[in-house]
Amino acid sequence: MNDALEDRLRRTYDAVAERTSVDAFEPPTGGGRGRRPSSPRRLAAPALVAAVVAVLVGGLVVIDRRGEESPASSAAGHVLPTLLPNADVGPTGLSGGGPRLVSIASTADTDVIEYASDDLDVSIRVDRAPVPDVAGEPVSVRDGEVATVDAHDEGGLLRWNATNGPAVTIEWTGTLIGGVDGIVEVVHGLLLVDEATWATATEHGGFTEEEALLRRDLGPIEVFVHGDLQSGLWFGVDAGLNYRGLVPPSCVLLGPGGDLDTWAVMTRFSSGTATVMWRDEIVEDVQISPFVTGSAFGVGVVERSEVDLGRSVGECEEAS
Amino acid sequence: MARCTVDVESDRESLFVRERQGLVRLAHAITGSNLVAEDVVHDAYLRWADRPNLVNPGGYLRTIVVNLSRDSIRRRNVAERIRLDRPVPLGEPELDETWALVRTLPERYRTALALRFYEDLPEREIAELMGVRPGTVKSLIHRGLARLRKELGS
Repeated sequence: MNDALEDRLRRTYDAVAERTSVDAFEPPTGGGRGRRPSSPRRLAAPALVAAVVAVLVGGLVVIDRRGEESPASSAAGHVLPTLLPNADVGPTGLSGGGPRLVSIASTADTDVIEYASDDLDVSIRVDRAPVPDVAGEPVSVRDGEVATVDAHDEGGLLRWNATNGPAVTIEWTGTLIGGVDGIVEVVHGLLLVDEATWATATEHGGFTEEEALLRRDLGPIEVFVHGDLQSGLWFGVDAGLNYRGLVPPSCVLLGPGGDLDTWAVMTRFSSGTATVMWRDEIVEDVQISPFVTGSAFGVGVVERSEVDLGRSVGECEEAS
Repeated sequence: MARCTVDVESDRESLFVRERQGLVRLAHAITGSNLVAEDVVHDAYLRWADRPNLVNPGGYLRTIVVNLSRDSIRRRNVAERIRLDRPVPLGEPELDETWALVRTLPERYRTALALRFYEDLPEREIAELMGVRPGTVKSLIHRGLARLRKELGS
C-alpha cells in the first residue's frame, strides 16, 4: 500500500524525468575515448563551476599519477577485517556482540564483505585499483595516512586509498556506537593479505573451520593466525608455556618463557624492520621475519639476551 | 567478417541511442543534476563500448550508469558541481520541496529511493545493482523515507 509520501516521491521523480534535457548523441571518435563535448547549457554554467572543476582536475591528475607510480597497487591484496564497530574488541576482534558476517563477494577487481546486526549494517569493499576519495572530512588512519569520511545520523562512508595497497571503502547504515572513531578503528584493524591467504580465509563459503590461516615457525616460537571472518581472527604466538594471542595491529611482546630471551614483535606493516624501544630507552630497528608475504603485518622475533626479562617493547602489550 | 563487426557495433550504438534518454533520467534522479547525469551516461557509454561481448548489454549499461552516478555523488569535485547545479523547477511547490530534500540525502538513500520509486525496481534487483543485501535495501528505503517524512513534517 502506497502512502502519501511515496506517491509524492513518485510524482517528483516523474516530473524530474520529464524535465531532464538530453543532448544529441555524438558517438566518440578515434577509439572512443574522450570527454563529452560541452553543450550550450553546460557552457552557460557559472564561471564558479569552471573554477571548481579546474581545481579538481588537478586532484584527478594526482590520483592518476599515483596510480602510475605504484603499478603494484592494482595487484594489491585482499583485506581481512579484524575489528568491527559495536563488537567486543579483544584479542579475537570480531568475537562477542556486534554485526555478524552475512556475505562475501569477490571478483578479480573487488571484494565486498558484509556484516549485519539489528542496529548496524557494515560493508567493507576493497578495490584493487585506486578510486577517487569521497566528499567528506579527512581523517587520519593508520601510519599517518588520510582517509575521507562522510558520516551522518543514519550511516556513512569512509574511503581509504592505501599507499601501495587497495582502496578500502567502509559503508555503514545504522547506529554507530562510538561514532566515526569506531570506523577508524576498523581501518586500523584491517589485515592486508595475499591471494592464497584470502582464499584460505574465505573458503567453506566464507568460513574457515578449525584450521590455521597461517602458521609460521620462527625458531623458538611459532606464530599463527586462525579463526574466521564470523567469529574473529586469532593471532597467536606459541612458545611452549607462553601461548598468547596477539592484538592486531599493536605490536606484542612475548616473554619471558622458559629459557627464552625471545621477543615477538608484531608490526603493522611488513617493511622488514620494526622499531623497538627498550626500557633503557635504547631504540633499535630490528629485522623481523615476514609473516605474510605482501601483507600489511609483519611478525618477527627479536633476541636480545642481555636485556632483563619483562622489559617493554615500544607501545607493545606485554604478554607475560 | 568486417561487415558483421560493423553491424554489431551499429546494433550496440542503436541500443545505446534507444536507452540513452531513460539512462540520463535515471542518472538525474540519482545524482540530482542534469549536467552530471549527461556526463555519467557519456562515461558509461565509453566503458560499455569497451566491452564487446556482453550477454546482457542493456543491463550492463544500466549497472554502469548506477555505479557512476553513485561515484559522482561521492567524488568531491562532482559533488560540488551537483551542489552548484540548480535543481530543475518542477512546476509544483510540493514537488520542488521534495526534490530539494531528496538532493540532500546521502548517496545510498538517494540511489535506493530512485531505483525503487523512479525505476520501480523490486528490492532484490536494487540489491543486485547496489551490491548489497535485499535487507539493506529495505533498510535504506525505510530510513530514507523516514528522513524525508521528518523534514517534510508529514
